[in-house]
Amino acid sequence: NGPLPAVSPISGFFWTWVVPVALFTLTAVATGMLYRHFSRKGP
Amino acid sequence: MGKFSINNFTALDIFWAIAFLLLMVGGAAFFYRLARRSESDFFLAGRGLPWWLPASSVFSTHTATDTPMWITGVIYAHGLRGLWYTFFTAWTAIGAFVSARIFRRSLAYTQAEWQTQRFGGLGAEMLRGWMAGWQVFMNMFILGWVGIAMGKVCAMAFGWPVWVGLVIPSVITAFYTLAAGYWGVVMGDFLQGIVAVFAIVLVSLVGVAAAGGPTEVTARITELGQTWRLDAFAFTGWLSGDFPIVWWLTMLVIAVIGGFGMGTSIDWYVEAQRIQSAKSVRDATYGLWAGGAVTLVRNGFWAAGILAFFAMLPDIADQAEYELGWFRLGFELLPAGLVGVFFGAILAIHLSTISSHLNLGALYFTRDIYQRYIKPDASESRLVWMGRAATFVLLIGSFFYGLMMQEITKWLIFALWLMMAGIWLPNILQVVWWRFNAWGYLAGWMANLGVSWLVVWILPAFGVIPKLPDHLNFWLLMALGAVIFIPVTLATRPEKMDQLVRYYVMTRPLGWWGPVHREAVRRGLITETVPAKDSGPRPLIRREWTPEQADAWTREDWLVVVLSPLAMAGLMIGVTKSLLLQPGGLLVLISAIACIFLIYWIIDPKLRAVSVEYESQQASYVEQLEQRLRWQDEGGR
Repeated sequence: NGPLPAVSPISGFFWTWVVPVALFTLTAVATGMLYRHFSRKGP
Repeated sequence: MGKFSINNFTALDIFWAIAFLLLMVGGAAFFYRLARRSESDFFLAGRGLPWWLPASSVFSTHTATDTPMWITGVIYAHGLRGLWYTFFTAWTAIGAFVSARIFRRSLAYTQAEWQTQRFGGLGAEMLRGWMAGWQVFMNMFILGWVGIAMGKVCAMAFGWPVWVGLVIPSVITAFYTLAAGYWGVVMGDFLQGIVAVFAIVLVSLVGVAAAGGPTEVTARITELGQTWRLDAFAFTGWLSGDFPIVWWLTMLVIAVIGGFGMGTSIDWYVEAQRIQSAKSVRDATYGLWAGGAVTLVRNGFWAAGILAFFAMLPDIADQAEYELGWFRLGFELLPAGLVGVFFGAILAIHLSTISSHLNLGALYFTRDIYQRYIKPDASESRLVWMGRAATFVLLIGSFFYGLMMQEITKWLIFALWLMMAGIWLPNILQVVWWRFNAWGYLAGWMANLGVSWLVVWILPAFGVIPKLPDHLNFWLLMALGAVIFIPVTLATRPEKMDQLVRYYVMTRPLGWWGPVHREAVRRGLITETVPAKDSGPRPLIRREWTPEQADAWTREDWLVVVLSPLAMAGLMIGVTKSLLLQPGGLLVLISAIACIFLIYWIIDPKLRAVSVEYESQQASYVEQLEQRLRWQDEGGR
């Protein structure tokens, strides 16, 4: 049960920076849209 | 205890983990302004949610930090056939089209409240009180259970003491659950669902790629001489071995047929809240179905990644070691930055489970104990504050459960299992059989408590009967329970016809309801559907529905009841086999997706007709529900 006998197939600028920023932005925008949609409806 | 190394958790990773945590907590807490309006907002989001929000909540709530561990365990030990251990989620296949429709129409906040609509008198109140108390403690127990799992994961990953992972994330979750109630739970679940799906798909694909790609994974397993691991139907005989056919058939009965009942799965009590929060009957059906389907697709992705892990490290004998396979793929293979996102996803998985059970336990206390029996005329704002206080008490109680979990786990798992096994049949009968009454159902619960101790522990200990595996115990417990609760039912009076007719007209249940149906027709509360003289023969699949036609159960419903479990099984198995480029994998997956479109085409016109007609009456039904809750019917208490 040693370490995994493999190297990561993904690395570099795209995976370290672009993907996390994109996921964070997507989630944040989704939050804003949900809040706008549901706070417009009356009780 | 197992261990894995995080050798590359950089400052960047800490940044991303904290950023995602703040986004999830802040985004959910933002909804407090909607939650404070009323009890129905704090616990059901005002029954106003489109289907995809309950669906993501079903998925997120049922993905906890211990889930990837036990699923990794069964896939590592069993290969592809291990997926069937996760197929208990398929109660949603029929449940979405049968019990979800009935429960949504009952407008009950909880299963405990439903008991007093289906049954009446003292027996119904005893059932409601028992179920509410049981569920308050049950949710505390589940919170302690998943909390201690998180404590262990943090201990293994970062070397923190176990209590840190148990207490800190739960307190953070309680902050937004207290403030924003179910609005916060469901919005948090949606955001956490996005992050969790991203992590599960990415880590599984990275795992397969790291092992050399799908063909390399299957070649390696073939080299080991273990091609049975790639066969979802690798049975070991009818009754013998690790994977007998009888186990598989019993699992299918419990899961798939269980969809006709309420409470046949422990998940039902959680999903009932999601079903009731949907804005229509149609949204409730699609929400539960999609939540179950996404959960099974999740298992398919996990299985592919874990088979890749097995291909790389096939000789781990210790279960505590190999259970960590999926966590190891993520922590050891992802690059800097993404490791932080991965830990953020583990937090997301954890927070969504904690928040749902905090709010659900608080709901049972506030609605079914405080409002029903202590202060029926409480104001809306008082009920919201009671919900917040109950959330806090559940949080504290869960820490005690979590800390004593080590000693009592064996007994609690037994208690949990028997509560589901012996009560499975009564849980279906209460939905589908008009004559079943409160005393029969109570007798079912009590028989279950007594009989299961006898069958599982006492009789085998004295050598009276052999020690049976769980799947055979299920049938024995069902038979012994029925010998008690069926005579009790027939020896006591049926529920009052007024109560039954009111329930029948409101929910239009499936099954053996003939006498109640005829009485409702006689009273003029529902009209018999007589085909018009000039309408010609009925089409094979009806496309145009009148409200009367849509309220009845017809061949369209039965068609989707048959197709739905097939679609779910095909999705789960098809995803794994396609990811590993197995022969026939894509065919299974495409057939399952085609099956989903067919189900939608068959049932959607009918569900729209049910929803439109029902919504026109919902406001007056809600009014009656609240009056009954405050004992303002038939002369009060």
